[in-house]
Amino acid sequence: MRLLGVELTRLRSRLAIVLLLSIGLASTALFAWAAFGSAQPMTDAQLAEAETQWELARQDWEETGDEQVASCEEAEAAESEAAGEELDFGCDELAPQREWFFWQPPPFDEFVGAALSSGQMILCLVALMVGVTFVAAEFASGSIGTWLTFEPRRIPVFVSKIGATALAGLLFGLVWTALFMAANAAGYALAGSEVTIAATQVHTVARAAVLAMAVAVAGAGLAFVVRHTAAALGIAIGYLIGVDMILLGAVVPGGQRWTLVNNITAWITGRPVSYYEDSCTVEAGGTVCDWVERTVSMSQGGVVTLAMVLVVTVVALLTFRHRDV
Amino acid sequence: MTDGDWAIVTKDLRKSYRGRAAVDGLDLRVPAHGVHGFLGPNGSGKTTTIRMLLGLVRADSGRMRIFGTSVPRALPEVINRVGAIVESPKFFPTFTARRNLDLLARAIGAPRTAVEDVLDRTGLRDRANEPYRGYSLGMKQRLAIAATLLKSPDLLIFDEPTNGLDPAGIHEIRGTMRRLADEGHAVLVSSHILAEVEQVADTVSIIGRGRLLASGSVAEVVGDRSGAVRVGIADPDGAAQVLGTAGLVVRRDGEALVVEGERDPARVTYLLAQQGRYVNSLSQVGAGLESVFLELTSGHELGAPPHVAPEGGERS
Repeated sequence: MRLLGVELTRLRSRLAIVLLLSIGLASTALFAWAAFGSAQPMTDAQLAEAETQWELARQDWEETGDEQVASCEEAEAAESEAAGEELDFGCDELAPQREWFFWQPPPFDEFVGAALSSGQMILCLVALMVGVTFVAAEFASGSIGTWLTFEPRRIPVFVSKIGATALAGLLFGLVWTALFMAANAAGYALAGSEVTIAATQVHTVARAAVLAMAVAVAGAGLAFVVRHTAAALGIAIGYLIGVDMILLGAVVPGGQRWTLVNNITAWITGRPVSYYEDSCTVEAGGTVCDWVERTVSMSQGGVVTLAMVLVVTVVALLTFRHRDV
Repeated sequence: MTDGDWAIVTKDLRKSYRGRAAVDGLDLRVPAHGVHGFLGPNGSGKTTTIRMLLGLVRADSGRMRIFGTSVPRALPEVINRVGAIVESPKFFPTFTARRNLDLLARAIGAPRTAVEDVLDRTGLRDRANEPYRGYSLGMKQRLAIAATLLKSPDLLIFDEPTNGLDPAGIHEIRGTMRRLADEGHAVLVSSHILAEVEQVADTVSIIGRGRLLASGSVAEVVGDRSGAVRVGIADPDGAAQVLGTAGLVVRRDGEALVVEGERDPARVTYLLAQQGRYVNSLSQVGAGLESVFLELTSGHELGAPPHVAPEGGERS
């Protein structure tokens, strides 16, 4: 506990880390602006224009609706016969609906979930950089050597540094997500839209905090392995581009199930993330491919993210324990 | 004497980097009192040895003991008796001296008053709230010494402590080492400049290519080996050939020659005059590590048995 306390003090005293965390927290203000823009009700001019368009569409439907339905059904029948199976062109849903012309802001809960999908990038990036710089700077300055002449037991030293990083990540995640929610709520409220606070949002804050903790620990682990801030960040970004986006995302069949982006998004939003795979079968007439929707669940997202962080942490521990300083 | 009577004992210590031996069967004994100079040219394995003793680098084989405690296995048991500055002082650059010391003090459970005490002892109190990165090299060394004193150590290890220091800084560090030894600490100071260490050291060990070449008191080790003659002459290459043929160890130093281990300038001028060569200038120079080192290795296989064993120690 003594070492953990010292590491927390060291972390708090690092100007670079304080700056990073401050910038990360300040970034939530941007989401208030985005929420305000998205929650804006239609102006009177827009309402008048929508009313005009709705009236035109309704009149057009009254005049040509039967003809459009008949044409649709004819095409549906022809294609079904050609394909050898029954197809649905949705011919009974062609009639224009009034709500199509009068836009409404999405419910707050739904909007926040979507905003968090993009906002998590900032959360993860800041948490990663905090973890990386906290450890790598000690190797860069050489102060880790001095430290080990005071406390030569490497496992306690490792645990205290990882522990301090984890606590910092957890706290940052909690505050960042709470501010993120508050910023979005403020944006919605200022725009005059309804804000509903649900239990799911509290759960989201908790999951985001856990995610920030995990990413910060992974960053610290990477820094223990490569001992350099730029190298550690390069590896993280290289993994996201080379492995996550290209290899798993586009080359390996079924690889999207294991991408960090999909798994982290599922975890933080608490909703399944959909992706599509092409499923091809060879038939008499040739190869027939179809898009199959698959999902990554929240629980899978949590398990995959945790597993990756554990792997990085174990490699970091073994490296730090055995490598010369 | 048992191993516990020495501050440091190493036996057949070895460490290689990519197949190249940095430390090659080193047997080292550092007395538990006084200043011990740990000497050798750059790359001779001094820093690697110190780093192995402190658990920063793993030895390939061999045995190390600090105050009789086997290291690195039981290093945590004895680390609070050891203060060390390895190579240059290394602290967190953006933190103040006080903050750096405070973190180290907390790590070992030292009282908060210890920080103020060592700041006073090293004369840093007035500038203790300035960031470390703004310190001069001399102040950084003082801070490093302050850090080592936080533990009230019985053994202090200084690795090349005067590197980069101006004469005043070198003088100050020498004085500090001597004072600490007089206060009862054992001080191990590594250096590649014998002349610098011999002013403060009570005993020395000289190593080359990772092996012990000599060990003992300064007087014993330097003894008759001290001295060299610097010769200014028109044709230094020809003169070097003449002196070399006569069995002297000669090296070029710019346009001059340095005759290592030779204490009699008259012999040099005589040998040259016999061949019709006359010197332009002639001066005696004090022994440096280089001259002693060259003499120790000249005509001997590297790692030959040390010439002098420390009092009470073993010949090895």
